Formats: sequence, structure tokens, C-alpha cells
Amino acid sequence: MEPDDIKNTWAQYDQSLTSKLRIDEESLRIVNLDRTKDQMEYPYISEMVELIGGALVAAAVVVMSIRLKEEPIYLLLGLIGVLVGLLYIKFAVKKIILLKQVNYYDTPVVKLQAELARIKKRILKFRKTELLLFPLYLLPLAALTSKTFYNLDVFSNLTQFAGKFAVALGVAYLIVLLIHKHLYDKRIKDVEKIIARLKEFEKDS
Amino acid sequence: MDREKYISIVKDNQRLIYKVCLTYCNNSELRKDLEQEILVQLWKSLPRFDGRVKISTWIYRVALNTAFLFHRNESKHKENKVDMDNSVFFIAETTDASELDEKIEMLYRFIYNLDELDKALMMLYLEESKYKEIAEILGITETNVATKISRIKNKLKVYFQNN
Repeated sequence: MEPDDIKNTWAQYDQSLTSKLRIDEESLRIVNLDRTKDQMEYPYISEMVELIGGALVAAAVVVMSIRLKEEPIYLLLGLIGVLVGLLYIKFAVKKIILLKQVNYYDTPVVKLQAELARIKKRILKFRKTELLLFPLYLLPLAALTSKTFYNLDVFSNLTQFAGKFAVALGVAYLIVLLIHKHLYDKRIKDVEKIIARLKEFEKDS
Repeated sequence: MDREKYISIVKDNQRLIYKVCLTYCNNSELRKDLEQEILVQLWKSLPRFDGRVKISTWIYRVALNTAFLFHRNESKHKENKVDMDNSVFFIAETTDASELDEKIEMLYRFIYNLDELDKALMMLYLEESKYKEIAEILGITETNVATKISRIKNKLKVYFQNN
């Protein structure tokens, strides 16, 4: 069959749909169009949750650090925790801004898909950095929480603590590197493939 | 936006939406979800429609963009299904399983095997869209559209010769 015959077949199919395809207007009337597991809103909502969660945890670290301000080591841990927390907040705000800039409705297909892929790549890179910082966030938080809520001083036996700390940090970073390699790096490669394909498609050739 | 006006726009463009769903999803269960997602995105996008492009061009953009995102996250949809029991679109009962249906099925099989960008291009080509409109929908130049369509026509010719 030649391309023109195929087009004619498609035109006949379109014609047959004109008479056969029906729309259930009642369903369309009653379906709640504002309530959806929205594909486009989901990343934005997830970043908002991260921002609010990050702000709450950072505030808790500030409060705990102030309560333990007489003990310099806890104050230092508090400072590290707050700094990392602020970085998390900064990343979440940047991701929200990136996602909010997307014009889903007035952008041609290739341009929108390319923009989304580039944003996804940046977000994945933010996530990699966040994950890298996570042990630095978790350990001060654990020490501050133990002291504040259970009066458990992890520095009472500094030699023993230093050993445990080093092991915990080592294990945490091993896990981080594995997640980077098997999850984020793979996803970034997939996004890069999409970007390359879109660039190739955009090229006049 | 007024719901009646929206329904009327969907009705006028129902074949277009139906065909985008069929082009991007060959699983009937997931297709209902895609259909729902496109209908929701159209509902959200139409208040922003300013008439600079044809309404069908606008609908193609929204439908194809939604289908692309849906297609990439298909595995997520299998676990996270939209609450909708029935499809809004349905085909009226017919008794004739015509030769046309066979050819169309074959054509859809060819389309399913294309990548997501070529699927869009193929569909717009079959829909007799003008190169200018295809360029507006996809965001590439008219020359590029012409080149790609010529390639896709060759692929199509080979496919129908071999099948």
C-alpha cells in the first residue's frame, strides 16, 4: 500500500469514527475535573512537602541548639544541622521555582519536553547533593535529639563515640554512593538520552 | 470556564483526543487513565487559550504533551490509577468487521513501534495537518517537518510492503 492509500484509509477511519464514536456527556458532566492524581502538579506538591518538612526540622534543630547552647559541641552540631537544613530549604525553593516556570499549556511539544527533561536533570542533581548531605544532617540531628529528649550524651565517651561515628558515617556514605550509582546516575543518563533525542529531532536535517 | 462550553469543545474534538489516546496507549485500562488525564489538562488549560493558534492546534499540544508524560510514567500509573470506572468515549456497536478495521489495526501496530516523537508526527501526517500546523504543534521548523515526514513515509511504505 502506498502512503497516499494509507492516508485515504485513515481518512475513511476518521469518517467512520464520526458516526461511531460517542461521548458519554453525563460522565463528562459529573467527573470532578479539579480532583485528579495530577501528573503535572505532582512534582510541585512533592517539593512543597519537602520545603515545609525541611523548614520544620530546621526550626526544631534551632530550638534544640538554643536549649543546649551552654555546651559548645552541641551548639556546633546545631550550627551544622541548621546550615545543612538551610541548604535543603534553598534547594527545595530552587526546585519549586524551576517547576513553576514551566508553561504546560502554551508550549509546543518538543520545546516543553526538552524543558521538562532539562528541569528533571537539574532536580536529579539537586537530589544527589541532598543525599550527599544527608548523613551530615542526620548525625547532628540524632545527637541533638538524644541529648534533648533522653539526656543521652553521645560525647561522654568521646573515643568510643568517634569510632562509632566514623563507622556510621562510612556506612552512610557507602549507601549514598550506591544510591547515586544505581538510581540517580541511571536516571540522569535516561534524561540525557531524552535530551539528546529531542535535540536530534529539533535539528533541520 | 463554563462546563457546557468545555463539553462542547471536547465533543467537537473527540476524534482527535480518542486517536491520541489510541496512539500512545495500547492497554485499554491505562488508556482510560490517559483519557482522563487529557480531559483534566484540557479543562485546566482552556481558560488560558487566547486564540493565537487554532483550537485544534492547542488541543493537540495539550493532548500530546500529556500523553508523552503519561507514557514515560506508565509503570507508575499501573500502581496509581485514576478513579474512573468507564471511558468517556465509546464506539457504538457495529456488526461489520471490515477490511478497514484490519488496515487500521495494522497501522496502529506500526505506530506503536515508533518512538514518542515519531508517533506524534505520524499521527499528524495521517490527519492531513498542514506542515505549518505540525510545526506549531511540535515546535520544529516546517523544513524539518517536511524532511521527517518524507522519512516516515518511506518507513511506512516498507512496513506495508513487508506485512
